[in-house]
Amino acid sequence: MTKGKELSQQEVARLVRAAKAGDRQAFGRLVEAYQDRIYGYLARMLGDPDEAEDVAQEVFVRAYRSLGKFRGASSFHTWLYRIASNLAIDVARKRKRQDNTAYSLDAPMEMGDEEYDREIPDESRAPDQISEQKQVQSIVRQAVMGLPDKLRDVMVLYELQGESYEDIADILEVPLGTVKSRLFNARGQLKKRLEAMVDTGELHVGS
Amino acid sequence: MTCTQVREQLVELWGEVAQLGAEARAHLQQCADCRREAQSLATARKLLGQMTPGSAPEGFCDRVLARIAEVEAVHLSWPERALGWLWPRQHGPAWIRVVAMAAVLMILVGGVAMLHGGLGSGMNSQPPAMIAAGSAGITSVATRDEDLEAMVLRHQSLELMQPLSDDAGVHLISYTY
Amino acid sequence: MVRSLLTTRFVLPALLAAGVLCAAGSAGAQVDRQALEMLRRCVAAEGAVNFSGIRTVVVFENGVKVEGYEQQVYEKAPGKQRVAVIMSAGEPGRLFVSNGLVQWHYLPDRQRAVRRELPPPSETRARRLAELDELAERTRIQYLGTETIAGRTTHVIVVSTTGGSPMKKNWVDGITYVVLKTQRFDSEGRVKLSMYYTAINYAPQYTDGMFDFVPPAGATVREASDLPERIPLAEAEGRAGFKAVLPGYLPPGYTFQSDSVAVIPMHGRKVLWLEFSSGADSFSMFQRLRGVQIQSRQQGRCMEWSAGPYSFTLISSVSCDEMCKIRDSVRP
Repeated sequence: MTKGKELSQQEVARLVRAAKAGDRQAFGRLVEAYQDRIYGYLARMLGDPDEAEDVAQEVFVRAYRSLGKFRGASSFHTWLYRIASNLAIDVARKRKRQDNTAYSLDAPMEMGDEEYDREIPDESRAPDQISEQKQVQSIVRQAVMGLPDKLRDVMVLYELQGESYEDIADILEVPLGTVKSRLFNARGQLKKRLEAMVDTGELHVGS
Repeated sequence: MTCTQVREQLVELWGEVAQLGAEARAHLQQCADCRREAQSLATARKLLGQMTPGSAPEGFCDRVLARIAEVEAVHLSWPERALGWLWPRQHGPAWIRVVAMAAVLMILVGGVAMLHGGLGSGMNSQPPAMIAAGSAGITSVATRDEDLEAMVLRHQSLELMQPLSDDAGVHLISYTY
Repeated sequence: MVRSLLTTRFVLPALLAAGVLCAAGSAGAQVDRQALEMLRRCVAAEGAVNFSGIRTVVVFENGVKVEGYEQQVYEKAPGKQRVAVIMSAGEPGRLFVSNGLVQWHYLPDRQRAVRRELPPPSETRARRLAELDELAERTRIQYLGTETIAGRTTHVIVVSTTGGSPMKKNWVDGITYVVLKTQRFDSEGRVKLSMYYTAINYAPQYTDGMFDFVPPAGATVREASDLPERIPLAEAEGRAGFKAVLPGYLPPGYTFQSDSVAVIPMHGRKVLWLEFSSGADSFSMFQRLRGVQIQSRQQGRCMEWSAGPYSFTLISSVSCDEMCKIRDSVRP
C-alpha cells in the first residue's frame, strides 16, 4: 500500500549510506519521505500537535546520530517507528507522573501483557461553536488517548497508520501474536469508551 | 455458537457482519445483544476512520536539519577539539574528517615506525594470483567477489532446475550483499 | 440364531475388509493424487500460457518482513518472459528477460548483466516432471481447497516434510494452472518468501522487442555457466584431489545429494560443489583447498570461512541461524 512519497528499498539504502557518510542533504530527503508518517503517528499517540512536532524532531535527530547502528535488518521506516514508539511511551509516562488528574484512567495495571481497564470517568464536555465533524473527531481522539499506552500504540499503528501486523511486531519488538491480541483488546476498549460517550449524549452517531 | 464466541469474532472483524461464518450470522439473527455489539463495533470503526491523517507542519525538515547541525556542533570528538584547526567541522561532509584523521594517524604511525627502523610488512604488492599456496596473506576482495558471484550463479542454475522451482523471474531476489 | 449367523458370516468379514482398506488407504495418504496431478499441470503450464500481471514479492527473515517490492510480469508462449521490478520515480529496476533460449538478468544499480543459455523447454519440462514423481516419494503433497487470488479461483496445494512442516504452498489458477501465489517456509514453518499476483490478465498486449535484451553501454556482462556433470561423491573426490568435509548438522528435511556432486574449476583450482536438498529447496556448499587464509564473512545468503586446509562457501536460502549451525558443524 502506498503511503505518501514512498521511497524504494534501493533509494532508501542509497540515502542511508550517504547519510552515514555525513551527507545531511541525503538525510533531509529521508526526513521528507517519512516526516508525515512519524508526525502523524506521534500526534495520535500524544494527542498534542506541538508536543508531537518536538518529539518527531527528536526522532529524526536520534535516527541521524544512530545511523551507524542501523544495519538494515529492519526496514528503515520500521526502525524510525521504533524510535518514535519508544519516545512516545516515555513522554506519555512522564506526563502521567506529572499530571494524574487528566490521565488517571489511562494508567493501566500492567501485568506482563495483560492490561486491565479502569472505569471510564465522566468527562462531560461543554458544546461550543466548533463544527460537529471536528467535535466528533475530537471525541474519538479523546477515546483513543484514553486507551492504555501499549494498546493505543498498536491501534494507532494498525488502524490509523496502516502498518501491517508484521511491521508492527518488528517496530514494537514483540511477537506477532502479541500484536494481534493487543489490537483485539484495543478494539474492545475503544468500543466501550465510544459507547459510553454515545450513552452520555456527547457523541451523536448517524445510522 | 455462544455469544462470547460470536463477539470475539466480531471484534476480530471489527464489526463486519458480512465476513462472519454462517453459524455466527445465524446467531446474530436471534440475539439482539450481539447485534447491538456488532453495531457498536462497526460504529467505532467508522468513527476511527474519520480521524484525519496528520501531516508534518511546514518547514519541519529544515528545523530537523538545523537541530542536527546544532547537536553535531556541540558533540565534537576529542581529536576534533584538540586539533580543531585541521578539521572542517561544520562545513564539510564527515568523510573529509575521516580522511584527515586517517592522514594524521598514518603520519604518526609512519613517524614512529621510522624511529624504530622500518615500516611494517603489511603491504603486499603482488597481485592475488601470485600469492603462493600456504602463505598467510589475505586474498584480494575483488577476486573473492568474482568467485563468490560465480558460485552464486551456479547455485541459481541448480535452483532453476528443481521440480518446485519458482519461475526464473523470481530469482531477482539476490543472494548476496 | 439367524441373526448370529449373519453377524459371523457378513459383518465380521466386512469389518476386517474395511480395516484392510483403511490401512491401505492411509499408506497412500502422504500424497494426494489430485494435488500431485495439479503440480504436474503447473509444470506443463510454465511458459505455455500468455498473460501479464502485477506480482508482489515479500521476503521474511525469522518471520519478520525484510524486503518487499512489486514486479510487472509478462509471459508469452513458448517460454518468453519479462519481469521488471517496479520502482518509484521511474528509475529502472532489476529486470529479467527471456526469449525462451537465452535469459538475461540485469541489475541497473550494479551495472551488471548475467546471460544464461537455456536447455530446450521440452527437456526442462520432462526432467522436472520426473523429479516431481521422486519428490512425491519423499514429501507430503496435499490439496487444501480453493481460494481466490487476483479475482481467480485457485487450488491450494502444500508440499510438506513427512513430519508435517510446510515447505512450499502454491495457489494454482483453476483453469490455466498458472501459479498465482506461492509461499515458501523456513525450517520452523514460518513464511520466508511470499509472492502473489494482485492483478492478472490472460489477454495481454505485447510490444515489439519486449522479450529481447541488449546490455546497456558500460554494463559488465557475465555468463552463467552451464550445469557441470554431476557424479557420485567418491569419483568427485578423486577428480578434485581431496575428501569432502560434510556438515554434521543439516536443517530438518535436508539431505546430502551424494550422487550429485560436481567438480568445477575456479582460478586454477578444483572446487567441490556439494548439494543439499529438501526436495522443495536446496543449498550449495563449495569446498576447495585454501591457497590463502580467508577472513570469514557473510554477505546476504552467502557465508565464507576457512577451516583446516580448506575454504568453504555456503549459499542458501535457509535462515542465518541455520547457516551458522551448518558452518559450525563443518569439522575437517
